[in-house]
Amino acid sequence: MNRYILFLFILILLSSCEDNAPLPILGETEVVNGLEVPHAIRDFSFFNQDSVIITNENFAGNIYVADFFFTSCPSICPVVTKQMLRIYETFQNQNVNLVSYTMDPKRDIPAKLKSYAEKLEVSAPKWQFLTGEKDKLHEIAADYFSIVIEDDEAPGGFNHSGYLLLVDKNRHIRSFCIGTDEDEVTEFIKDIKKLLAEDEK
Amino acid sequence: MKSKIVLIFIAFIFIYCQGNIYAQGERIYTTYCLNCHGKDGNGLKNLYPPLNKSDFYAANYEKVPCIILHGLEDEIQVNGKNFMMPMAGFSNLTDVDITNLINYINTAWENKLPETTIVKVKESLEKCPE
Ligand code: HEC
Repeated sequence: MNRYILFLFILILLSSCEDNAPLPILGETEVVNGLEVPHAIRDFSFFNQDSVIITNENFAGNIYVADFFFTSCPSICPVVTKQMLRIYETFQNQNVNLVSYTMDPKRDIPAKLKSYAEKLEVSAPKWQFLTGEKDKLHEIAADYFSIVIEDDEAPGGFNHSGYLLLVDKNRHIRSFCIGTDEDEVTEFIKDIKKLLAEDEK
Repeated sequence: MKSKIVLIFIAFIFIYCQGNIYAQGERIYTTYCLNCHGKDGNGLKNLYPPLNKSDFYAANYEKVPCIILHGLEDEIQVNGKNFMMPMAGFSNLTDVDITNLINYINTAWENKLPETTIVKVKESLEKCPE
């Protein structure tokens, strides 16, 4: 009997340890000036839905969730957007921002993004919809997606991957999930809460 | 006693099969429409209109086959909300597909619209504005 309780105690201890482990920093470490540094999102500068220039500085000291989409997307984006909206609503009063980069900057000019955001009933600065030069958008996408294995068979490659990425205050990617899978997003939301708690410490 | 169980069993299968009467339509909905109009048919905010209890759908019943085949690009009002975002058509769907799909939608979620037939769908399609 005693042994049984001990066993249970250890089990609880172990499982609580697991829970308290900080989220890992994802991505390959890079070597800069002979020092190993963890992968971080590069500097960026884009226009948001209000035609305001938004850079990485806007997120300094804030955690955010990023995704890639385009407003006329006929396939999975609407499903991912619905999950982003869920995150928006869950963390309405907390320090979590959302960033949706368009993959179709030619059509998704700020006015188009504005109308999309309005129809979703969301606004900046909480949720930024970003557009800009195509090359720059591809560069930043590659930066985010360097942490996930690419599926070469998917049409359009990473454009359609539907991943959500969680970025901490120091620009490190700490978690990701497939934004079309409601259950995965539920787990992802737990990770966001964990990261928020980490920052409060 | 035994016959009662058998009866219940048969009734159960019957109801079960009834529920799946538009399985084909449901499959088409899941493949082509669910992403935007939702699992629950309620759409998404003011971006994608609902198909569940849509007054627009009921009022424009005759036009629905055309909307599915050719898409829609008008400013429309559904249940008091305005929608204006083009929906592309699904020209790959056959008349049979469209009939099954409409019949699925008509009784899905809280919808209680009458059944359509392939003849009616074909008639509607002949009158599509192009
Ligand atoms: C890419 C997203 C998308 C997909 C996929 C889609 N729709 Fe739509 N649908 C829309 C939008 C946006 C509108 C509003 C069009 C407008 O404003 O003119 C709409 C409008 C409608 C309407 C009329 C308004 C209403 O709610 O009653 C019907 C009916 C409809 N869609 C049926 C379908 C069916 C059936 C399918 C699957 C074959 C489908 N749609 C797939 C986005 C989509």
